[in-house]
Amino acid sequence: MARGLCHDGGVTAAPVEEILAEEQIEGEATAELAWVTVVWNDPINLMDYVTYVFMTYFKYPRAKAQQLMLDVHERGKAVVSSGTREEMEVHVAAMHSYGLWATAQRGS
Amino acid sequence: MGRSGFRQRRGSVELRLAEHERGVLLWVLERYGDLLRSIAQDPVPQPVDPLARLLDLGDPVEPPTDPALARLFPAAYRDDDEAAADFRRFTQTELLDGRLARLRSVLPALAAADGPLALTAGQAHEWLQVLNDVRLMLGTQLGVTDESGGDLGHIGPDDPEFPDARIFEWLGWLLETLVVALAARLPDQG
Repeated sequence: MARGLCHDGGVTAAPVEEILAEEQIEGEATAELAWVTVVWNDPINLMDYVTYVFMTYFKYPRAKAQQLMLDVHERGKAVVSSGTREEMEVHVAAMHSYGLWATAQRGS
Repeated sequence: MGRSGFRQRRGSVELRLAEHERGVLLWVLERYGDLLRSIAQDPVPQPVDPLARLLDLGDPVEPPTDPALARLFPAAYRDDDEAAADFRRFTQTELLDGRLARLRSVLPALAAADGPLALTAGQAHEWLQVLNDVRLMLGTQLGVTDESGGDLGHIGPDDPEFPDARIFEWLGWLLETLVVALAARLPDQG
């Protein structure tokens, strides 16, 4: 992921400060999207209900909501959103209010 | 007497129930309310840490031990107990208040209904969340697992859990009628 800084042995044209700043910006952009909301399968929630929640809360089109619901059902879990940690915690709290079993975690 | 359930009617959602169905629903909603209110004593509250009080950190909120409450108020982090505890401390009260508020909205309306209940979009949404919560409560108490896939056929008429199992199945049907009624209003049918 991160580029090495010193393997050019000083041949690099750009000043080191500039490269460092660039690295930092890239790092921040990555960190912002480094968290995900995961919804886990559970045997009680109805499939149509889960699809409906994904459509209304996340405003996903029906096809995407249905695919995520099937992923939850068949693979045991699905990443339903990614973003900052704070955003994911808002989503997790909302999913809990709908009775969905959601967690936040770092994206991989 | 028209058929029971939720349906679209003149741009809003209407709930029709037979009198005995309304009685069952009121009963199970009361039970759900009792469960929610029991969270204050689950687990048994511990004395507040004086240092935490001094630092105004707010009381820690322990995860509920009752399985149905644990299902309604799950951990927000799987592998990070500290993050899960912080999340619970800052969100569980709000989550509980939201559930109690929705129940306070739907229960008196159902109790007072002497015919079909016409719902605003907001009320229909409250019903959606409440009915799903009640199914989670009953399903957890009945031990519905991945293996059983929600099939409660093994619970016979002589089983003490038979009434709950029948109500659980009926609630699944009722919730489905509401999802269908609400989904019909969504613009994206693709």
